[in-house]
Amino acid sequence: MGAVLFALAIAVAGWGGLGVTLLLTDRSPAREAVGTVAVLCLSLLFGFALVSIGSFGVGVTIGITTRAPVTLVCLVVGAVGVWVQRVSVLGWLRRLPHARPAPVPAAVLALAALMTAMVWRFGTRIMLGWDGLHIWEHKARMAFDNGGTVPVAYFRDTTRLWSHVDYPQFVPLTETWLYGWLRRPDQEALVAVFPLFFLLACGVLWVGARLLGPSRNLAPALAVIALATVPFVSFGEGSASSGYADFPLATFFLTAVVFGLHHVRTGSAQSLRFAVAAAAVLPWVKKEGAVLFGCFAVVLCAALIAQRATDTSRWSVTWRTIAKVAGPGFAVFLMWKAYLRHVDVAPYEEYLPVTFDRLRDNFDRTSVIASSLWAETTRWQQWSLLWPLAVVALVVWAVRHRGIERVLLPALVLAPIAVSCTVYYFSGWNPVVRHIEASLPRLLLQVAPVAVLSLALAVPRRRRSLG
Amino acid sequence: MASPLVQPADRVATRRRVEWTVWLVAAGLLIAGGARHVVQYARDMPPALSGDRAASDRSLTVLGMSKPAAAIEAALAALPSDETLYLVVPADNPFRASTYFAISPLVWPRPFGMIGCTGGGGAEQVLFPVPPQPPGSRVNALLWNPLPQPDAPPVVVAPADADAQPIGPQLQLVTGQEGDAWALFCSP
Repeated sequence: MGAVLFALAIAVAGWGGLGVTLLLTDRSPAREAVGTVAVLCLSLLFGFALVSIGSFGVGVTIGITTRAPVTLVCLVVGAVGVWVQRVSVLGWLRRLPHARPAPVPAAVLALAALMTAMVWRFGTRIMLGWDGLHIWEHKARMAFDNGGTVPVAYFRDTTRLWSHVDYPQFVPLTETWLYGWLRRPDQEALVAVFPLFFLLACGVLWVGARLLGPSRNLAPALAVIALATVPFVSFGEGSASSGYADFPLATFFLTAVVFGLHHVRTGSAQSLRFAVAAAAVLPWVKKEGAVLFGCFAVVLCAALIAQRATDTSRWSVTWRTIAKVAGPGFAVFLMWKAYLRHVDVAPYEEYLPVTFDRLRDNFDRTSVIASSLWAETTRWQQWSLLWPLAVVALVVWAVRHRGIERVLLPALVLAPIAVSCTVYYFSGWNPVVRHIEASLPRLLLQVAPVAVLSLALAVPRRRRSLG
Repeated sequence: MASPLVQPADRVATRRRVEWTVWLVAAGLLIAGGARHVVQYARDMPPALSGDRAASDRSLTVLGMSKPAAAIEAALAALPSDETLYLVVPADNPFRASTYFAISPLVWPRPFGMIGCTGGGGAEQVLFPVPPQPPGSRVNALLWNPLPQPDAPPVVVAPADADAQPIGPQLQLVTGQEGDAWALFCSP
């Protein structure tokens, strides 16, 4: 019975996410196909986002038990999305019985499912790491006991500041959603949720490598396998099996990057909407998501403005681009900050004030940060050869591409790492190396799927392109 | 006349072959190198855990109980939700912080602090403080005394007249003390 309810919880969230995906899809007759794998992945990702933001919104504004209203929201959004895209959906359903799965995608799907099972198996051994239990499950359990939202008293409880009361609530409210369907908190069931993000990351990687790279099957397939065999993706504190928020964050970031790059290359409006929607979830998943979102928004805005500067350089176009790309994510970020202010969250200063004087005083940390970054990226038992090969792949990308695309992917991999490392200048930990050792591997994990994508995109072209 | 920019077909083909070989070798090394560690982990991994409190129970194994999370929750069920609770432990216990963090969700919404007893006539240390409570409010304590050494007196003790309820072999709940009574739990 528990497995059925678990599947039902995922299905309802996915249905809501399908509605979001279809509403973001082009409606014009000349629309481009999205692809079944992309729709499935986006539906689940947006579904989890819809459920958590919906639970938060319902709980805060109406203050009632959230599961029933959020279920209703999911059902309505899903139905509206399907109705709006009914022609495409009916066409897809008519084609479905005649569809014959191609051997390579079918094999990759089977392999991805197998590796997801492996990640789940690792999860049953780790059974939620430190953050998974003490930061996220703690909040999920409180929210479950409180009707679906984290009680306001928790934000002011100075004896629980250590559990990062100010962290955003994508993970705990998604977990609470499952607890609500299961009708009880169940840590064993939670362990099955995080491998789903691994499967979704595999799907988005497959979609991204096919959309953006020259290879249709080999490179995407090897990218999926490579992701699973990066040891830190599969096991360890922070991995996809440990119940941390870092891998879900990485999956949303990968989605934003894939569709953002596709938009820059093709001008596809629906890709831009997918990218912006995925990026908007980043500040809702984890505090560090704001860094990823900021880097993504700045890089994409700069690319779009530079790209359109030859056509028109009017300020209105520039501002419209910035509002379109950064607006939704910034709104999510502000929403959470406003709520924390509203509930008068107890202060917990993990960082020193960000001032130029502080940066100058702590500039001697540069060697510690640089040596830690070097040591981490060359820990083969943690990353295999991912980072050295990613650097080579990014150079290949920069050499192969022209115009703004040349710097786009390297910037989307390197900028978040650089900004995250800069944050250590303002760390309040003493010695700072403890802070770096505790968090740097997870900061790299947030970008790791995009690094794997860069390897897949470095695949040589099959034949010389004309022109 | 052929343009000097046009490369002979065989040179282009050779370049392609080299590029493909390099890429495949790199991908193979990445996958093989990583898979080796993943397989190693799969071989050495601890046994699977199960149960709806499996993670909490695992983080409380040091208490020496079979289902510590449920036992603690059951013991605290009758305790009013606004009363302060302290975990009182020997200050040199290396698992004190991790145990405190693991118990904290189980005792929500009560304010939850931790006291470390140094023993041997040393003073108690407030390791995780609780904000000042209104005068006359009751204070409760979870006394965690790891199994004592044969010839060493226990560092954490319940006063003789206290209402002490055992939860496990090392853990007991003392309820209804007034004011700063937690200081009494550290043996002089």
